[in-house]
Amino acid sequence: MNKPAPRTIESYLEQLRQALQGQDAAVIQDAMYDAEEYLRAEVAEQAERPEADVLEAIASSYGAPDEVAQAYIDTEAKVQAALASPVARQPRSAAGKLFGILMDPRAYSSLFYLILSMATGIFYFTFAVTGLSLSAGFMILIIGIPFFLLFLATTRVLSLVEGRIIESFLGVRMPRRPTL
Amino acid sequence: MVANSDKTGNTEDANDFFLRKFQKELNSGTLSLVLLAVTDQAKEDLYGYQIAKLLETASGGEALFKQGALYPVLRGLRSNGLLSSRVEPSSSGPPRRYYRITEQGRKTLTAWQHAWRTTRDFVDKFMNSEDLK
Repeated sequence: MNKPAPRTIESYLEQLRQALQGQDAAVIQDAMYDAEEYLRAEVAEQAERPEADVLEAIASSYGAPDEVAQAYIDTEAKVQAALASPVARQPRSAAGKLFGILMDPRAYSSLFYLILSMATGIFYFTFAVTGLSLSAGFMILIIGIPFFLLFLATTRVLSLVEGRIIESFLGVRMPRRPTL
Repeated sequence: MVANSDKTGNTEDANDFFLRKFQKELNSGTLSLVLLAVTDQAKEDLYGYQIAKLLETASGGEALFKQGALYPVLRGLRSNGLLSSRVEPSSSGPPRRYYRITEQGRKTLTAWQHAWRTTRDFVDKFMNSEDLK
């Protein structure tokens, strides 16, 4: 509340990040991403005004960092409550405690994920080793560096894919930022 | 937050506090409806900033909500499958997320519009000051 009003895009984003401290990493990333899109577009739109003036006006149009953070926290609380898989009933009896896991759907999706990781793991490893050794081999040619950069870019796509797999089978949200 | 401390003292502050609280509660439903309607009427896919500016122009200067509050609602609609989105690079900043209404979104919009009209008419019945006096 007593923080100075942000004068640059960077300081606005920094204050937003601070206001979101302790939240889910995916929420922070979404919020930062949205704010950056809006701020950059607004500054580009009003190119003739100094950035500090535009940022001052943004507190009343887009909202101050604290307010914006609160909007994400509120929405997140609702979404999480709606998407959360039903909590398995806590069985009372000793036998129920032992066999209760059989009734928990999350156990089966986790199991499937573990089996699937054999296939994905082999693929990732092969891909990484092939990419690295080809890059090293091509280094003496002119295509070496572009090939290496392309290879690094594809690993980002793969990590995005892995994140989605984890989300769907383990029910844990993964932060993501779309690649260009 | 400010007004909470002295409810008895400054009625101006208290009024403002209750107004903002009420507006926020209203917005939590109407924003989703408006965003669905806007994406339904749009001829092309829209990104967050475009939608924010569109609503700002339409509201004629009287801001009912902070534009920052739109984005989490858009994301919420997307994760519920009412909107779909794609990401495209932009020259002015980070890549933009373009939103489009889905088939499910259109169906939901029709149902929501009906609910909205019913609610509006119902509320209006009690808001007509001449009838009340």
